[in-house]
Amino acid sequence: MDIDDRSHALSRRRLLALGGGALVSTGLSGCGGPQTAGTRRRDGVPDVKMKIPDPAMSLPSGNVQFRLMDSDDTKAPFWEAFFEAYQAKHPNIECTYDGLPWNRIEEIAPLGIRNGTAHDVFQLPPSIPTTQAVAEGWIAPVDDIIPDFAAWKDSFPDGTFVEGVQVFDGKLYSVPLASDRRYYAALHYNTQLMADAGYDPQERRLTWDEYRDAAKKITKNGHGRTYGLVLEIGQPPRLTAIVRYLAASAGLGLVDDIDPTTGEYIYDRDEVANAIELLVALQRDGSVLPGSANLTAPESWPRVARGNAGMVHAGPWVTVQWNTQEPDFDFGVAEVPMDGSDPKPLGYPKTGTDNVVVFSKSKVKAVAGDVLAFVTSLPGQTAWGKIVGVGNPPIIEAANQAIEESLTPQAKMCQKLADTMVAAPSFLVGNPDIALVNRELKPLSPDFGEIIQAALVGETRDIKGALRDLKDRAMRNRDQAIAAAKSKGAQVSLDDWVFANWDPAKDYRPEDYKAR
Amino acid sequence: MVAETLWRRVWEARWSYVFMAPTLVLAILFTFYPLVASWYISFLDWSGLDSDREFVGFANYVEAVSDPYFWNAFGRTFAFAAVTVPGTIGISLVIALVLNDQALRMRVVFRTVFFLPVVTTTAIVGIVMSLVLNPFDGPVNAALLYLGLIDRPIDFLGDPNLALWSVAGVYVWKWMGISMIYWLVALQTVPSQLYEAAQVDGAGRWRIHRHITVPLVMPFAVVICLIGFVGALQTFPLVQAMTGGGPAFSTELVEVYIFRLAFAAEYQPRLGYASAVAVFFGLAVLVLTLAQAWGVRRAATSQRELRGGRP
Repeated sequence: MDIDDRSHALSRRRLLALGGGALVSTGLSGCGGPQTAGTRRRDGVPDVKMKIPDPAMSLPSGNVQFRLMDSDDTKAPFWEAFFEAYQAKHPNIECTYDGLPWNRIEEIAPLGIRNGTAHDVFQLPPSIPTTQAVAEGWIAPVDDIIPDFAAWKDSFPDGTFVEGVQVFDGKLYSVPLASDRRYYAALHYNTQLMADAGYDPQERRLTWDEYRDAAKKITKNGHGRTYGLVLEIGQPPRLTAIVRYLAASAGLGLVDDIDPTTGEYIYDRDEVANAIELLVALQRDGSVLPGSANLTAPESWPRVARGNAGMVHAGPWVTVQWNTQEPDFDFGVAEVPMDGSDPKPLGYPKTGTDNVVVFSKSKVKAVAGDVLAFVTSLPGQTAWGKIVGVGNPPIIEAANQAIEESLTPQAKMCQKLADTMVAAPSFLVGNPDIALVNRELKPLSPDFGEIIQAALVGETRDIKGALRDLKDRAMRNRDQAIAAAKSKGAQVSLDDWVFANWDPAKDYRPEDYKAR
Repeated sequence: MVAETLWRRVWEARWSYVFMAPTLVLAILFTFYPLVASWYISFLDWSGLDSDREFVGFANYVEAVSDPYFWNAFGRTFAFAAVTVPGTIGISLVIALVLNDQALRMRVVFRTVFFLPVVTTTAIVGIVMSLVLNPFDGPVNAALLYLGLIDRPIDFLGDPNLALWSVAGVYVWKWMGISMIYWLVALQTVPSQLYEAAQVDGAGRWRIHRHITVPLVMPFAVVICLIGFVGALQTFPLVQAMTGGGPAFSTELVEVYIFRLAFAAEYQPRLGYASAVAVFFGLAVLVLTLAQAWGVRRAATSQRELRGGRP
């Protein structure tokens, strides 16, 4: 596929260059392929042909426009290929895809909603919770626009759709296109540097001590050109993910920063403080790439591929990025290092990710339903899995099996790591009124990530004290939110966060909710 | 009668109004409207997105007064101004004095070089300077290490004790050129006869500057200081591009804090509260600027009176 694909990309690019850039490119995409924000066809992306089935519901017969916006990442090539096929099947439907970074979506979505020109299908930015979009009437339920809705809904894994997450008053408003069964903090490392340091984390999981030692040795062997580890200290939410994974690897069971056996926040637990101390120790050893304090995650990944650092904690999307953009880079993917003999697996929410919603004022809801039905069908999800890769794995389990042979060794490792994860209990499934409490929660300041960041840059010396204080604030905050929600009619108590029958090593099944 | 004459005067000057109109419309749209809107929004509990706006009176202001993040940012902002204003003005005065010398060759080239950072986009300067100051592969650390002045790279933007002052250094470098132009204009108002007379009297270069240049350009210093001070409070693009307010809030100046409250994606946006902080900060700056102008004018008047008393 490689050679064909690349020559195709080249010839197209040359054509555009010869024809005089932007004008021709918009002209071309206007009559032929889908319009995208910046016409690109990426190297290293598999060429997957999609066969669009006949629509099960009647679609508009006149010329119409259909627009979709999402956060791109590695999804753009899928949408480009899909819309090309879709437009070939329905020449009267002009499709536009805008793959944009979140900060742009953050601007465009609210504006579009306000003046009635939002995309027909789009991803909600983090600042607009689905609850709010539903309450305001900005998004439409998909129950009536997706053909054969009940059967379609059943094709998703059990427990995907949850009242208060995507379902409101029994209607479905938000459709997950990918599974969130992803190992967020996998150790991505330079195989050669790691071997020179004397370790093979894929062969045997590293301990914390070995991890620290490997970082020291890589730094020493690097003579100032290479450091053991790059850490995205400039992006506190990422630090929380790394610390959660390390704390679990030291034996702490947790779901959303809460220990479900007691319902209490986990911030003051020894495993959490020790995990932060470990990162601080790496920093003190001089094993962390200088300048990490200002790096965000996307800025830190290329540092490993470029040989400036030996390791980084990252999700499977980095595997995909390196596989496509740095095909010659020899790297390994492994579990986070563990401490002690009883590491706990990480939990994942069954509710999926990469959710899209349908704009309530869209004039082509039927097209939106048709598109969503295909993208979540087995052929659609298989194409999605092959093109988007393990960074956003298909939510339909059969599609994951179908793509297995097309995966690189590292991507297979990502799948293996994802398989170690277990389905976490959802507090919302236990009691949907928790959604009302969540709405009343005030942001904590400093929050968990900011405390980890302060420890890493040397602003906080008393880490345990800061974490105890955080736990107190978080508990108080929740108590106040419960009281506020109750005053508005919510039926909820602290016990709703306690799942006494939870075993962190096992999937929490739908029937377990009744038995707790 | 009065209305008629007013109307006639307006009619006679109609072309002036026509030419003013575009600017006026733009100013109303993009300056006055947002200004007045932010006063109104500051009384609301509103995220800026939803239709759920609640009028809360002065609650946002009360909250701002007891918000430690705001006061930390407030203190940092003034510390930043206290360092950058004298720095910018002092250095640019020295450069202007040197460049004002008619005998200096290539002074146009030098002037351009010092002015170039001013016309360069701030965000670009911020990004490039954070690469330049990078402790891993930035040229500054490479040079310091090579010269043997340090044995471990300095994390200019990653060390919370250093980051604000590194940004301040870049700020001074970037904006010094504009103060230099102001000073050059001021210097050119000094009559050359005075210099010639002093030279005839045998005064040296230092004494000429001390007794002729400095007293004569001092009135300009007031204006230059004021402009510099107001400018030093408006640092958003540079800080955002260099550190984003981090690490651990150590470079979070008020403008960056307002941005975080109102727009930053990881937090729940609070446009109402952000507006209250902005209005409060704007008022504080206004009061301080007026006090400064008043104080300097008082000083200048008393100086003139003193001088006037002498024969």
